[in-house]
Amino acid sequence: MHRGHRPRNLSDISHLYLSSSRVSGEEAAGSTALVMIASLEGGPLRAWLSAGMAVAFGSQNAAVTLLETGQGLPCAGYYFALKPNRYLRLVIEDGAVVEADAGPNVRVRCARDPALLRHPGNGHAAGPSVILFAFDWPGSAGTAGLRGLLDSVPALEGPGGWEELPAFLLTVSDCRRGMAEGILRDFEDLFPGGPALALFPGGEKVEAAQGIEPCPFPAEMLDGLDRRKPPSSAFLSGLAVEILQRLGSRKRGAASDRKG
Amino acid sequence: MTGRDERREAAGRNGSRIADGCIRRLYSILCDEIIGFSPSVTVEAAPFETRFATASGMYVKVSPYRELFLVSAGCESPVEIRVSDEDGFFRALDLALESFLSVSAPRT
Repeated sequence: MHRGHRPRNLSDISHLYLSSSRVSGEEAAGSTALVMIASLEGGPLRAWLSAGMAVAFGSQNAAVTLLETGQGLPCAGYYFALKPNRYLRLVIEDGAVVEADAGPNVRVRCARDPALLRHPGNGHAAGPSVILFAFDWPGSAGTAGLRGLLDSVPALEGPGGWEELPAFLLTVSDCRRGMAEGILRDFEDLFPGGPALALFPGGEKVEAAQGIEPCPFPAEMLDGLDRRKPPSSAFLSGLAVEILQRLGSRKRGAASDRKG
Repeated sequence: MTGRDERREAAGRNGSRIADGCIRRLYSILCDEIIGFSPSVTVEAAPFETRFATASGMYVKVSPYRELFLVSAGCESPVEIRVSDEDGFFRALDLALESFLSVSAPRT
């Protein structure tokens, strides 16, 4: 992981704000990746960020499956402007799954019980497939840890299952000191050396987090927290590109390791 | 800050005045969901209404009656929704959620 790294300042990650590049076809072709969004303190950031990242990956021609689980409102259905009787169904009905398609590339499934999250199929995107799995940490995992949580999701089953996928971890918190230790330990055990970023609203001053690269996003983005549309910004687009590129380079590295 | 169970208990007290079991269940779920928005949501159970608030400015009032309950959000010119079925419940919870999100601010 990134233990011992100096905290990065804003200039180090300015490319995340400014990037408008797309992932090349070669980098994208035929790959499936698992991007996890762990919301560390509950609240609306799980749904808000997962909706924004789903759209950001979709704009990279990725086939995106957003799987969201957690107890608190809102769910991502709010940000995809579903009617209240659709996105709130899961609060009164055991077994309810909120389903939405956001454009041709993005499929959304939200449920309080992760065991209800089934893969809806990939659609027809030309680029990579991204499974975006958003959850509360530690709330969604309980005592089972990250492995137990991933094992409980039917959409992550199949040949090889989630263990075969290149994985990226995003933690999100509404303050600088989210308690990420437990999930970092689990993530490192399951995906050794896997890349991870800690997102939080911030400005110039970046404090060291526990063994994870801090990645502040413009706090002004949260001004639209109640808007019924996924957040959209150069930051999120750049972040999606960065994640796909990092996962692509890990995949190429693993392939050359196997050849060697 | 009080724990979630204590806040649920405080909010649930007023629900007993609702005679219809289905509506009483919706009242209970609504209160629980509002409390779940954030640990910072406070609950005040007054004799005829239950008030939910946050320091950042959310204010939601729930007034239970025998066959229904009323949900209002905001202090000035509050919007009020009458809940006597599931449709009213969804609109009321949506209103409360939007009210919460509109004043939520990061702790930077």
